[in-house]
Amino acid sequence: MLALALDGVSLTIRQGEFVALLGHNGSGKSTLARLLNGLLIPTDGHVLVNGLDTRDTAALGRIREAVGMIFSDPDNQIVATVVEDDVAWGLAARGWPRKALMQRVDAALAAVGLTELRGRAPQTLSGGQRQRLALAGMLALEPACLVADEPTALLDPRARADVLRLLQRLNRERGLTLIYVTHLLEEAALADRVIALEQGHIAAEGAPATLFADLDRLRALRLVIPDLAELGERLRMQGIPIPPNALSPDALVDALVAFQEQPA
Amino acid sequence: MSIEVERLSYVYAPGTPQARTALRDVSLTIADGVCAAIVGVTGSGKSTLVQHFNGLLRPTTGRIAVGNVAVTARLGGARLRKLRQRVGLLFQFPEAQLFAATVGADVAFGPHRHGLTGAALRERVRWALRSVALPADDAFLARSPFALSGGQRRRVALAGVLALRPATLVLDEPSAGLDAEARNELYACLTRLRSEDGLTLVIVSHDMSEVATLADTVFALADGELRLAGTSNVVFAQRDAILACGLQPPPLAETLSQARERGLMSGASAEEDGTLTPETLAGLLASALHTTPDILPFLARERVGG
Amino acid sequence: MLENLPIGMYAPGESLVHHLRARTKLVLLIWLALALFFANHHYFHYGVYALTGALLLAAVALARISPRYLLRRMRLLLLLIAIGSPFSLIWTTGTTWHTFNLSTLSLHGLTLPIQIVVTYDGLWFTFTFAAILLLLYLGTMLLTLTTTPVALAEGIVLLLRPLRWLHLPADEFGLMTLVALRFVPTLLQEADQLIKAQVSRGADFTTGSPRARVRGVATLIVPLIQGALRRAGDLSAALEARGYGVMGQATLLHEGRLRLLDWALLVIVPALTLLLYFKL
Repeated sequence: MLALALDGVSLTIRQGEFVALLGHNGSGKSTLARLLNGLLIPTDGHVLVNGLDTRDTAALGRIREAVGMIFSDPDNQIVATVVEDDVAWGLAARGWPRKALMQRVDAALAAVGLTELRGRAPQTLSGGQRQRLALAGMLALEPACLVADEPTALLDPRARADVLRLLQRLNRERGLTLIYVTHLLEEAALADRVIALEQGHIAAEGAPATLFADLDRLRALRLVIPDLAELGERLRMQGIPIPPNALSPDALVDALVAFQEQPA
Repeated sequence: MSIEVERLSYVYAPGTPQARTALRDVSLTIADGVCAAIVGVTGSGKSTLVQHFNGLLRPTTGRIAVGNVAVTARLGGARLRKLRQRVGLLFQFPEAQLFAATVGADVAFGPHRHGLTGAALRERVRWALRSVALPADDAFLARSPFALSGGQRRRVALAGVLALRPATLVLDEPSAGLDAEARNELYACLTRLRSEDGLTLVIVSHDMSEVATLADTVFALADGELRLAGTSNVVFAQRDAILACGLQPPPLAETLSQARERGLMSGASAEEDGTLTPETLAGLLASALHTTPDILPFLARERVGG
Repeated sequence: MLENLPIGMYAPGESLVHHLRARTKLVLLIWLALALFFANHHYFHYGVYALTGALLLAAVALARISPRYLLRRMRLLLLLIAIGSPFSLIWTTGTTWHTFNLSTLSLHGLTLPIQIVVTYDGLWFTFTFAAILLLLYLGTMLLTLTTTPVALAEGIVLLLRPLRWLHLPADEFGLMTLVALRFVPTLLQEADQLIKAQVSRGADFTTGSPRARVRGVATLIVPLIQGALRRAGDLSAALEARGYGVMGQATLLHEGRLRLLDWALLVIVPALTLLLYFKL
């Protein structure tokens, strides 16, 4: 019997969107992510990037130029032993002229805030800095879309928040399409749209505010329900209208304040 | 088994130009039978600290006693082996240490090295697997660890350490990378080991929700120094100090502090000794916000239902 | 800062040796290796060995690499040579240089001398063998210490490029070198962590019976290979995502044109070795 990692999945992602692919380990979310830039080619069906089919090997170069990707472990993405060399590597492999290349490298380092550390060896950087370096290596190629496959999984809380905030900013300010793979509701809550996967199928899809209103359904998808989601649910049952996507203390308390201030 | 650390300092590569002080003057006591959490960001010294607990590292200065064994530079031989048996240490992503062709052989490695053989060894392996809620039948023992799911592999690794029958179990980021189901199974195992087998647990973590769920005592490290110590309620109440360590307070505690900061809790009773759960916090917040707390929830439920 | 650098690592610096192009250093190293092997056929002519030794020692001094670090890194090789030399001294046949009479053995009325014969061939062979090993090891260490892996990879690509018509994958070979050097510290760290994990559950690497140690090492091999394979898989996905192998000739980040010093060394060193080999 054939095991299908993904089965009959159809979806469209528009330029500039922030989409979260949500699911537990083995739900098919990483497989889907790797199909988006032709790292994997579908067994059946098609993936079109700006109208280019990932099956078309001649178009693969342009597809990978349009769709960048970062992974969980930055160590496995960093090739060079000096920060700026690593950012330059992708452009150098494409044969960019030195001057234009260095401009791109400068811009990418500035975008992730590593300009000061450009001469350092990657293994002397912290985990969060290394993930930002991996991101800079992608940004130097100026992709229209970035697939981030659980980029915060190995980071501590502060680095996690930093990387997430940086990605959000790139999405908002530069219109970078962001496809964010995660198993955490807290992270998916920040997206414009959440696509929840289970056993290779799209199990649910929608804005986090609607999707996260039904926690039982998310439990059935074997996802970790954050304490704040449960708190919000209980408060809603008590008549306090907490938006289901308020999964950070700030957002939740904002909703509480708004409720208190509304005229009775 | 209690662990007493007194003015412990540890320097990596001492006497060389790149000597680095990883721990500075740390004193703490972990009582027998508790679940203690050691929290801090990457590089705060928490892994260095726990590697002293089974003698992988020795103090540069200061003293550390685990049960009745003093961990010093001279500790070795049979006493060291005994210490390593009494204190089980499970590193981050422990499934990476599985090496044998079968689950049974992998779990048996530790106790066999400590001299157990034959039927006693087989019984020990089965006991360890049952302790982590895995099947202990011949079919499972004969399976390859690499054919199991991520959560099962992690519990096989845990069984490999439990098979030494330690009195204290040290776990570095035990739930990192696990999904909800695997994580809950692991938490259930740990809770059971503590209540039924009386294990002392030491959890190294930067996930404050996990710490709030499992631990009753919390030690926070930053830059190699002990910054906070006490029961979890006391430590989590010190929000600014936790933030100064580069950590996030558990979300529920943080929500309560922010609500208080923004004047939402003025009408609430100062009842906050109990452990915060979504349920207790929802009660606190609702009673603070509602003027007639008894009727509204009922009405709200009606509205949700119909 | 060098003391704890693992082997194969780059130590940043601004010396003349650091500023030499990677291809200059590679070509010189290969040239000297060949010269040392050929000089081995020229009995008791030390010129090439002295020149190579002098060049390398000068490079060590210029690059400000602590001799203590080098000695520490060479300890194992020195030990191997120390163990091997007596055997090669004794067991090489040829013209006798000296006979050492140790004692005599009386057996059934016959007196047999116990003696060790050292031949000229033995002496020369032992000397050249030790010198070649030590000098090449030192040269390779100098190369990786003073050349960034990216420059080294680019140097390899440039040197192999003329051989492309033989379908020699020059770029791939360069990338392989880069990745190998890049992952040395990562894999060492992984090994260190793994050793600690296995020691924690009873493995033995340094004490105990040889059998126990062998069993200990066995607990490392499978996980290490697994880890390296997993990394290799992830890395190849990441390289592909970063556009490796998509198109054209790569831009060189470090390996520029050869400079005066490079040309000078590339002419002078071979000329000197040839002179020493044929005339002295």
